[in-house]
This record gives sequence, structure tokens and C-alpha cells, in this order.
Amino acid sequence: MKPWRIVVPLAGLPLVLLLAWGLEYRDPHAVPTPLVGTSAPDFAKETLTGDTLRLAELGNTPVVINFWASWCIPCRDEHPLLVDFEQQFRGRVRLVSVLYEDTKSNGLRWYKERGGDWTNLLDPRGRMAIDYGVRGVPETFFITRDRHILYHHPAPVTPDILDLWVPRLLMADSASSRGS
Amino acid sequence: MSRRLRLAALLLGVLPNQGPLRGQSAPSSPPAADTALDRKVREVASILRCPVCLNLSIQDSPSELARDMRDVVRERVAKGETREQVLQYFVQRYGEWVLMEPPPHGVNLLVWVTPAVAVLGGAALIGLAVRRWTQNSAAGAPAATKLAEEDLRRVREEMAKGPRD
Repeated sequence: MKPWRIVVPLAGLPLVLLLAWGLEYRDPHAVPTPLVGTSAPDFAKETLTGDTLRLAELGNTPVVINFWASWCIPCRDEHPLLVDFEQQFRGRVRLVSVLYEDTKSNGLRWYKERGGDWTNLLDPRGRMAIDYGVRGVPETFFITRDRHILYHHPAPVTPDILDLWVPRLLMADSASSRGS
Repeated sequence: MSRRLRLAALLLGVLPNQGPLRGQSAPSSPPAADTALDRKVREVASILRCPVCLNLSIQDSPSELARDMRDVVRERVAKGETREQVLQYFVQRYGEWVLMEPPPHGVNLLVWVTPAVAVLGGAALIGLAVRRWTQNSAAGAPAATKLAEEDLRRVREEMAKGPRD
């Protein structure tokens, strides 16, 4: 066999491997965030009830920050799970939702119709979302007591995700457990 | 430099734009609102990828997230941050993915090196093929010459016999 019959196909192999590696991330929006393991960006935002909340005011409690919008269809499926989660872990994990690119009236109507009374922040021009590198909604961040981002979920949370990450969040109180 | 030559040089990008060509009208002056800040914001926004679009910069994207990101760029540039500082802010949050052109280091180098390697490899293959063809032609030449000489000899013999009745 002539050598070029082997060499030419082999020359294309690296390109095929590169494409296969690139296709590993099927969803181009699901690129891993570089924020995991870093300090959670601080914020000072107005809540749905008219108060102002800062990250530093949340005390020594792990925080779950959920970005959502009333126009987001997957957020409707996610909401009952968050209601259950908030009731189950109240006092141990602080759930904070962030209303992304939406109006206060839509947010108020949402909670009136679907339940839930946890803190909800307004982010009308997306400043907080950009600070957290949000690409779309829903996205959820699990933040440790020492205010480091333990995990980022760029999709609707599921029972499996909560079962996996909430125990880790409760145990993660030192820098050694970050980024797992 | 002749007008035609200068136009060709401009099209090839080898000559800095030194103003309008003769016979061309001068470009209209930028609108009054187009300040140095606007130009800097456009420059930085053109480098940043819109996270919810397909290969569009936040400068070109009509999405709300791109609009918000442009506002952040404007605020930071207005505060005196350099282009690198603004880009760094977004890279820290979205990763290098947010840059329209990946910086040339690590795995990203493949993006820059692969086309050059492909072009050089292709040129080498073409060179080898051309060399092989010319060698084959050269090897075939003596046989053709021999055949032509044989034909000529027969023609001469026939001519020497004179015309047939």
C-alpha cells in the first residue's frame, strides 16, 4: 500500500478529534462558569416588598440564588420544587430569587398565584445577572457560608440536583470543600 | 501614486486610509452624539460575544442581555477603565468564551495554528503531486521522441520511393 493512503486520512484525524471534543458541550449556553470556587459577587438590590438586601446581610447561612422570570416557561415547572425546598430547609439554607428582565407587578402576581414567600430581588437592567455571568433563566447558584460559589446549575433545578448539592452546601464551611 | 494603484492598495489593506480618493466626496462627518466614549464602547462591545446569540457580538446583537452588557461596558469605560480591564470583568464571569476571538494560548492555539498547518500541508501535497507529474512526463519523453523519429524515417523512405502510379 502506498504511504499517502495512510498519511492523508491520518492528517485529518486531529481535526475530527477536535470537532468531537468541541461537540462535548451540546448546549453552547451550558459552558461551565469560571465563577465556581470564587467569591460570590456582592449585591444590593430592591426586593419585591420594597426593601433592600445585600449579600452581606444574609448572615452565616448558605444561600441558594435562583435567577428566573415570569416569561420563562421552564421556571414554571421549577417553581413548585423551589417552594418545597424552601419549606424543607427554612432556617438552614436561605433561598433568594432574582427576577430577571421582568417587572415587579409580574413578580408579585407570580407569587400570589403560585405560592412562595421567600426573598425576591428585582434586577430590571440585569446588572446582578451579568455580575453572576448569567446567560439565561433559570440558573441557580449554591453559595457557601463563607460566600464562595460551590456550584452553578445553568438549567431548571431538579430533585436530583438538590439531593446532590444541598448536603454538600450544608457541609461546605471551609475553603477546602470549594469547587467540588 | 496613481488613483487606481492607491485604491488597490487600500482594498488590500496595505495602505492606511489617508482620506478620500480624488473625485470621491468626503465622508459625512460623524453625528454630533458620536463621542470618543461611544467609539470606545463600540470597540469593546465588538470584541464581546453575546451569550444568548449565535456568533454575534454584543455590539451587533439586539437581545436584551446584549443591551445590558453594552450598558455595563459604557459605565465601566466612563469610569476610566481600560479596554483590558473591561474585557477582564466579563472574562471573569463568562470565561474566555465571551471573547469573539479566543486569545492565542493553550488549546486556543489550535484555532490559530491549524489553518496555517493545513495551508502548508496542502501546498506540500500539491508540490509533491506536481513533481510526480513532471517526472512522469520527463520519463515518457524518450519513448515519444523515438516514436517520432521512427515515423519520420518511414515518411522519408516513402518519399524517396517517389509517387505511386
